[in-house]
Amino acid sequence: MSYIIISDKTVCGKQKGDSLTNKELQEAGVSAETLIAGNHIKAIAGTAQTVVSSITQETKEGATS
Amino acid sequence: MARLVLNNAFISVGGVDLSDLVASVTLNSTFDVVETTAFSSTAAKTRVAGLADNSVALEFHQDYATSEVEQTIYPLLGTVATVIVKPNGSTTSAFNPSYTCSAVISEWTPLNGSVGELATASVTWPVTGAITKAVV
Repeated sequence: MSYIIISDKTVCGKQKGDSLTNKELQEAGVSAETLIAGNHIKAIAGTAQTVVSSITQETKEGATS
Repeated sequence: MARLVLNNAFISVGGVDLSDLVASVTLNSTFDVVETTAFSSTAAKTRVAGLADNSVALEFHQDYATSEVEQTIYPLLGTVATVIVKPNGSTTSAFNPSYTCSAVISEWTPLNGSVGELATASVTWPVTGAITKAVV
């Protein structure tokens, strides 16, 4: 996932309009969630991680497989 | 060796450069002193250094505007955040070392001040682990 800086503050050494990746945030020891909450960054559309929904397998009572 | 008047210190909290809203910064590192005096120590007590205890103290100028102090610090309350301090600007060098630590954001004063005074927030955050010094 990638983010764009919307803050007037310098974030992880980058300026407003620059992009940041999850890897860069992790290397800086910074939480994306708190930066989003502080209106410093926002996710770039189309870079969301693929969410794999859980698979539930139903079996009939008494089934052997 | 030139003396330094602090007027351009760099302070980053949680990845955000808040230098223009910090009026005071103190990095503190102390070590426990563990006594090792034994019966053979006839002349004087002996000691060794024990565990380090680090902290960072900051005085913020409060600012509630978008992406400023309050909006940056409040979401960090109760978490561990990376704090970076440099004496003179953002460029790290042998003469402007970078000190990085993981601070426990254990306290915050959203509103503090008297009539006619600047709204400020003074904090002392304990550090978990060591303070890392870098010169490049």
